[in-house]
Amino acid sequence: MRRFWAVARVTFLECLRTRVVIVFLVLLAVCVLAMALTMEGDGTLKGRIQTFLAYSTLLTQLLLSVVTILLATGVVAGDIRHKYVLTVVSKPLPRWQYVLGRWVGIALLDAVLVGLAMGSIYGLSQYLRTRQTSVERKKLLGQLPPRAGDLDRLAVNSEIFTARAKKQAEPFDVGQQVEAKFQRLVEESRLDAVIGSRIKRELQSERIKSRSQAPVDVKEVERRLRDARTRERIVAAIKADLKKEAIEERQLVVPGEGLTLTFKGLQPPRGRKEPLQLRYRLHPMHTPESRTLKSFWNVFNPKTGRGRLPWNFKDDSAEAVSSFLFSPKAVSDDGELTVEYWNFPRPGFITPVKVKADEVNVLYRVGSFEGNVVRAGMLILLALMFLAAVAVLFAVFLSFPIACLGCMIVFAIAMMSGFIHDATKLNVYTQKEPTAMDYFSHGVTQVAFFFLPSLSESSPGTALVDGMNIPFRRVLRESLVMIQRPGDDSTGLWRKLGFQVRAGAGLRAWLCLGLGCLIFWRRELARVQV
Amino acid sequence: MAGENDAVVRTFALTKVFRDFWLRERVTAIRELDLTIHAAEVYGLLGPNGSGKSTTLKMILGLMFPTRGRVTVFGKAPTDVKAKARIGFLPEETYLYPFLDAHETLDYYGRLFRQPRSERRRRIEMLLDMVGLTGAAYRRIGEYSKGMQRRIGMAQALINDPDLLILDEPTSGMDPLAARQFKDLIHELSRRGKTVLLSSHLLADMEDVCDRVGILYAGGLRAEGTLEELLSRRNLTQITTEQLDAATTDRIRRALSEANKQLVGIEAPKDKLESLFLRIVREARQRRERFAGAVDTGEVAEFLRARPDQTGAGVIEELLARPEEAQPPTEAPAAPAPLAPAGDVLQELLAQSEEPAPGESAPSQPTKPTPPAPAGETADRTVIDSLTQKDDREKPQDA
Repeated sequence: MRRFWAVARVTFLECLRTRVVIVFLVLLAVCVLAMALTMEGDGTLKGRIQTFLAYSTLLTQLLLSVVTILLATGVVAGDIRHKYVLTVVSKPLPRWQYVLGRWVGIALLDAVLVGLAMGSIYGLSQYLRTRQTSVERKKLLGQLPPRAGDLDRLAVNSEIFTARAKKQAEPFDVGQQVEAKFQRLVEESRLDAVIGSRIKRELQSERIKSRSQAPVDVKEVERRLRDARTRERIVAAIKADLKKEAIEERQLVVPGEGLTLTFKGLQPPRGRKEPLQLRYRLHPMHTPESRTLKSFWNVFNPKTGRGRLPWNFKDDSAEAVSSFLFSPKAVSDDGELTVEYWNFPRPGFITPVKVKADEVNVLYRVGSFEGNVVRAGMLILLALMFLAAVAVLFAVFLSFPIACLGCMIVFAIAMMSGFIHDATKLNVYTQKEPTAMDYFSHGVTQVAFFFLPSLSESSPGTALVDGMNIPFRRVLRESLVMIQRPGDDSTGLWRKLGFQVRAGAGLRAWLCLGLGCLIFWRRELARVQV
Repeated sequence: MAGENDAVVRTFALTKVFRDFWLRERVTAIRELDLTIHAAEVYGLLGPNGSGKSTTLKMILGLMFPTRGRVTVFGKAPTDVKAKARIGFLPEETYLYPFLDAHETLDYYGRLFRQPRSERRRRIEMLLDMVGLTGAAYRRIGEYSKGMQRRIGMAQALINDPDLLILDEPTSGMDPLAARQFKDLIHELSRRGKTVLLSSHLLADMEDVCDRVGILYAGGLRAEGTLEELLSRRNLTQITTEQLDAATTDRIRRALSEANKQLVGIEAPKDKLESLFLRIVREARQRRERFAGAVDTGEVAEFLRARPDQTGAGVIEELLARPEEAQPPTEAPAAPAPLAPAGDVLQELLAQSEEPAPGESAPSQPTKPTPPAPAGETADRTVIDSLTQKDDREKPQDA
């Protein structure tokens, strides 16, 4: 393995001595510094630091990705083009070790660059934290009351320079309502009619697909209605729809009424007095001109009743994320918390408000900001290592400009994977039957996303901005394999299995390298003019 | 006579066809080539441009794959790491990283051979000294002249003290000093039992160092054998004497005429430009004139040198110590020396003509195995003549 380290060492040296690295480093340093000094955000200290963290992390990721692509394709394609590889490969160096050495060299350089960039971002954010805000300056001059700006600084400490876990409210338990609604259908003898109409709709849909003009055959409807399996399937679908309906009803809070949400499994660190945060979003049926809603929130320990907020009336923004802090005493020893929301009638304006359980979250500190920055750097590094592997793979058989272009396309697709995935879903924006083109684009993206990691999803910028903890197991999963619950976009197979396996960026990088080694092993490196 | 067992490189019906994008056959670069290179042999591959020399070398190195046929190096496939560990390769141009300096370059290649650090350092110092780049060891290779790059290229090819040295156009870009040193090095390596395979257009260089040559043309081996077998022209005799006066020359003409022999030519021999160049540079160095380029020590690296018990030690040093003696005088005397009396010159000359002419017998090393004679191969004389470009002296002249 000493041979492959020799290649990695030379690659590292080569990259350091290449002007590309210097140019990009200077550019990154200037941009990050300019951002720290000029960005204002929403005018608060919290907004300013959050804006800086969001844009500086994104810029770091973008610039380092471009550098990685340029360097990784450049060193391998350049070796082949300038024939340096002839001298190297004629030595007792297995070809796979050459490919691996090149990749490791680039990864080492990336580690150094990410370290420098994240170190700078951390240092500059700490510098911004210590700076006086305009509010604080006015307060010192006596132009503002003594406690002005304290909440802003508290929010900076408790919402940014931290690493918090997030827990969603327990979903509404609507089992009884669903059963009651279903029983009513049975009792009112409407079940067969509902099942029949669904079967008819299915048959109509099948005829449209097969471009048949014939009307739906009544006998076929009756035959399917008698079929036990079809009936069972349709009953399940009806119950699912009833569940949705019940949830819609439960999450709608009429004026003057309240809603209780429960949280389980909260694990804020014991012995700490740091406040927890409740974060939520309200959806009014009618939006007032002021776009604010009057609400009353209460949180308390369900076992002891402690931790109640005394008079927590709030003016919450409609359709926007709002939050407030509360005492850790409100969490019971076994990690339970009860939250009450009241739709408080406002003089002159009343409206029902929808509160979705999955949009009400409790956030609490589980780690340090420093640790989070380190793990964020590791996630960025993993994405860069994947790009380096793709670049090496392309460069072993393509020329520098073509390999570079290919990598840039891969990078762009991986960065926009969420958007592309949504855009190519079947029947997303229209309820029309999908065309052949829809199936084609859907198929292509499905295949592409099977091989590509979602760099936008794995980007740690959002987590840093919100002070959300990046668990180390996420880094591990990104470096190897992720096992997760099947999402809305998952295929039927994963849903049946109940879990979904996704290759992390690290594993995909190894796959790319393996393919690159295979191609390089069989490639004729010398070209002779005859 | 060397057998098949000591073959270092063998090719079996080696064929290389280059195809276009649509896999249509574009050109057959090598056609059914059977080549055997034996241990301790200096083998030269000759041929005009496009004859397939480089293709052959690159297939031997595993940088290209044969379309048909097979190559073995030390009995193994050319891509075998163990086989490659015994090979040194100097490509036709110096393909070395321009961002590394000479020291880093040799260190890198030493690492690829997994040499221990101390050994690497020792060899790097000796090789840099040998190729005269000690003073430029920490300058980046991108800043080197072409000749200096060839020198460092040669050093990297020798870092592992290879058993098989493959050199593609080794002296291209080298100054005569380096070329001379290179030839000495080949002799030294050959004395140590190393095998050298080289291809070159510089036929004089090949003539100086090769034990055996193969001549490629259009992808096929047209002639193969020792230089003695290929170059000797047994129908001519060359006599070298002191300068003769006109009367003696006439007597020789007459004597030859009486003996019914045709006179091909009589003329004064000229010095070689290489000798003149070497002498001038040596004199400048003795005056210690300042010089920024490669500085020759003329010393072969100790780890590449033959040990005293292995072969005649100090041969190279001896050669380098008396280069002028080895060459004929380059300057004409200020005044013509009195001509030697004719006397019995003719009888003496005629008596000597039966003996081999000086230089005809190639120096052979008693310790080296003699390569086998080409089996059933008849040299294609026209190809050899076109390649060796005989000068006018050798053309028959009217008496």
